[in-house]
Amino acid sequence: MSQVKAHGLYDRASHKVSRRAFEDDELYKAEQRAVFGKSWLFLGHESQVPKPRDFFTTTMGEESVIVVRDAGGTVRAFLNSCRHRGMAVCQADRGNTPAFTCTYHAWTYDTSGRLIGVPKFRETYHGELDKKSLGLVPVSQVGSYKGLLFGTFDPSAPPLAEYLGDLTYYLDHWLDRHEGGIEVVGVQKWIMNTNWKVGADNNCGDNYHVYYTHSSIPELNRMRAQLLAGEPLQPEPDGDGSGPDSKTVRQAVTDSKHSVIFYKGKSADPSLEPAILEWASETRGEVLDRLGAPGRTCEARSGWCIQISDGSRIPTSVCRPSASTSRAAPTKRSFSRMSSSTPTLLRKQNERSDSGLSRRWDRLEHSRWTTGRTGLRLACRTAPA
Amino acid sequence: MDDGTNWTSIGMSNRTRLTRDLTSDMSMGAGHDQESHEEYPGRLSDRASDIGHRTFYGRWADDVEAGLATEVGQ
Repeated sequence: MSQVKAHGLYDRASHKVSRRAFEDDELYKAEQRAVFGKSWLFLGHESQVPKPRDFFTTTMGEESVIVVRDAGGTVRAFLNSCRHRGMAVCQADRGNTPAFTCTYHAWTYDTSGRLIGVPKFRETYHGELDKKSLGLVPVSQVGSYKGLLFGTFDPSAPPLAEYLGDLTYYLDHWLDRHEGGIEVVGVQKWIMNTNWKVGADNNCGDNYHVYYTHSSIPELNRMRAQLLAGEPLQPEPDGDGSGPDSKTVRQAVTDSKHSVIFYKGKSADPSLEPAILEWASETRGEVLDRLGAPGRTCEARSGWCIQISDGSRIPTSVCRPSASTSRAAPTKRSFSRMSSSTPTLLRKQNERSDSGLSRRWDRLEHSRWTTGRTGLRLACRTAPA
Repeated sequence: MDDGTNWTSIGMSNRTRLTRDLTSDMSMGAGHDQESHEEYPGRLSDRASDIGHRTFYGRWADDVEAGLATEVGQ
């Protein structure tokens, strides 16, 4: 039994976390069971698997997972581990396939996880292998909320909507602004040498670091807006990089222990492309009607393009309807550009299933000091799918 | 400077003999939350606050402790 005492590592009175919480190996192992083994974990978005036999791979805690829309149209998730000797049966980031074949001995599974192929079944196993009991191990529950896919290894976990609780109010303002909903337009993956909680707590609402670490982003947006308006460039009046958004940005934590950052009653970011602003203006009434009483809604910064990150490794399903460095244009099937801070090399690698980064991701050695992160770039559909 | 630079530096720092016995501070805005709002669900706070961090680590501690208690009981 572990000697870890988590409460001793977080002092609720002084609000201090022992840094041993980030480096204790026994604690890390306990987290895999108690946090990642129990929570609903973010998997991805339904638009990543629009057609039967579409799949993508991700992680739930340390576990490599295949998310696949089976031949009948049901989205399923399985441990990416051959029931024979444990080899990953899928080494691609995404694709479409009628079956997953292990590259070791070629055991083959269909998109429902059934073991349908064992080479030399009669000659070597004498036809005696119980193939029915050797399907891919399913994730206990897979659920969807307005296109977002989640999974949990806990068969007794509450239904997803109940688990999300009041967070659905905020999610609706992000996911359900238009009839077409949202769709994924890109995936980014990172490997970072740090404990998973360091990134997770940042995503829980660390607006504070934006003033300094990311100060160039609002500054560039402000300068761009001035240039588009034909105005002379002026320095930030208060000099702290916070800008006018400081009056409208709020944080909330729900009873379900989820965190959210939102913009209160704010219209679209004025630094966006004119065509996007025009579209936002045209559809604003429609959006407010859809979401609720006009003037009482919260909005994401740009209203239709959000970046969420760290899905599979955040146990509390934290999502951020907030400032994004991505941009989407209002085409019928909208597209987006990459963040300006993303290195070109990484940008190219991320888009291919055979990339060097993908291979490193497959071989990621999870530990208390190494974290894999997935980010999805999402954009509103301006028309139903 | 980006998030990765900050987080990997933190990861390195937390490993060492002396710094791992220090603490990280999550106190910003404590005691200044807005307990309820007529429209927005949950407890609210200003733009810059550690309300999310405190909620995260509180739940994390609860989950890990509950998990350890279950294992002891088995």
